[in-house]
Amino acid sequence: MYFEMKKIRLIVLCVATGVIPVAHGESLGGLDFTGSGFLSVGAGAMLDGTNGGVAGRNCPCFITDYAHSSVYDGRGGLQWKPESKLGLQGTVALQDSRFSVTAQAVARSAKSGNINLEWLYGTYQLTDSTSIQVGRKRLPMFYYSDIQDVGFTLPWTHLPPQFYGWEAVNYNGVNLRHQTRLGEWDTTLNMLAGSESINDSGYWKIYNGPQSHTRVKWKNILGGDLTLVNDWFETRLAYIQSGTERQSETVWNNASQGYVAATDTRLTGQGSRQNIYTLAVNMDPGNWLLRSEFLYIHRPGATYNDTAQLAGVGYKYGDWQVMATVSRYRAVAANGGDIQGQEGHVSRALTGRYNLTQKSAIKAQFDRQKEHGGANWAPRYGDARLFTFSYDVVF
Amino acid sequence: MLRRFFLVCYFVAFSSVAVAADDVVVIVNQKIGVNKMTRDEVINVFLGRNRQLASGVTALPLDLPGSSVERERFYLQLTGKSMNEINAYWARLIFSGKASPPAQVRNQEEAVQMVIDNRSAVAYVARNKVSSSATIVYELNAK
Repeated sequence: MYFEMKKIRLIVLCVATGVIPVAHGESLGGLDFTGSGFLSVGAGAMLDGTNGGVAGRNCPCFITDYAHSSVYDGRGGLQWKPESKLGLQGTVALQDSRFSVTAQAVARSAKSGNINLEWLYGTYQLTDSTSIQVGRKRLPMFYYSDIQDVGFTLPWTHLPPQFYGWEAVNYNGVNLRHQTRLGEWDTTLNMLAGSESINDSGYWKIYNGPQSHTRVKWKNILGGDLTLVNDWFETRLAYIQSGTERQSETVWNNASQGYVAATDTRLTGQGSRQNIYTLAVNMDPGNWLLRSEFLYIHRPGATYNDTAQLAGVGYKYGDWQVMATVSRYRAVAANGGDIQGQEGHVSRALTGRYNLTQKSAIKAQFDRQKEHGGANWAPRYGDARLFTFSYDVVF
Repeated sequence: MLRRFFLVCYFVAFSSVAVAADDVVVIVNQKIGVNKMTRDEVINVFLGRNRQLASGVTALPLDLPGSSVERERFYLQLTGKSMNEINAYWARLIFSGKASPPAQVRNQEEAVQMVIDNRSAVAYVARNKVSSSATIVYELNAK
């Protein structure tokens, strides 16, 4: 923790003093270079909740990022580890050419500051309104997926976890993007294909314990999203399908309070297909901010399907903004699944934001999580009340 | 005589409000083939939604520096959004590889010169900075 804090302080100092240069473009030897970055320094304190040990953690626990296993637990005082991050992005383009390469590396305190190359893709501009990209990118399941790490762009200190919590957030592949205008609507259509392989899934560490190891594969990913914008109204539809596989070596066992070999057939390499449907309807009339998203995942070979909803309303007053948000996740039994084994959670959040400068903001958020799982659902993270605050900047 | 004096004063005052020298206007190169742009077209060009103009030319929008009063006024009057919100909008597009923000110039004089020199350049400047070699296609006070 000491070294993570030192890293964060160093990063803040670098940005504040300009040692990390403020973004921007340079040309050299026929190449155009542009760079930019983002920084979020976040901390939180667990107020109260359901006490107990869950999957090797001392709870109450509040999961803020499933994919990267970011969890506030029951330890006292401020916790800095789950949410701070630094991202740097660079793009190189051949001058007078339609081709460019972009890389984005992110260091997360949740992963002890280790730097991961999360985006690396080449872009070829086929026409002024159509581009093709090949490489590693964010999987665009939800409205905020693309910028889930860029805290400055979000109205929350962290994304509503009951909605934005999945095992795969990136993919390797190709996407074709086309922008056009249909009547009064600015329209963007994006189609994608690819696959994703995760050697040590952060998502499954939530369920199987921090020391567990689970490999995850999403094969034959195919899908697309359609965004329609008309002034302050925006809607987005997405569909993604894939095959899924996961294999766990060890999992947490509550009875023995230790790790045991995985025996659950769902965790030992059995494949399953999934069809993901999402819809976002967002509005920004005047000083108001309305956010809503809906998710349904159909899994033909599984005993549960996934549903999630998000709704938020905010109001801006000068540099201030307040927002109230509800997010809900519920597994729905199917194909003979145990109704009492359904997973379910509801989170409510109240967020305040103040814009410090044109490119930075501070936020404070109060979250309340309620467990709504069935009687046979385990592990139970239970209820939790969490206070978080963040400083977010882009440069 | 007195009535005539007040009438002149009224028109001077009225015209100074209607066409203030520091009003922000959008300008283009005279050869771009566009004499007028709608609010939606200006938004599309400067927010990277659709940069193809009615003449078929792909616009190259230019931004004034972040500290510029004209830049803040331009986006606020055009979109109703503060610079913080505009920067958040661009961060969303930049970090998702969807679009590039307008190229940034150092000042209004450079913006005007780039519009004169570059057929596809589109810029916003205070009205009193506009050269006769550029065409005003949109006035922010215009409805």
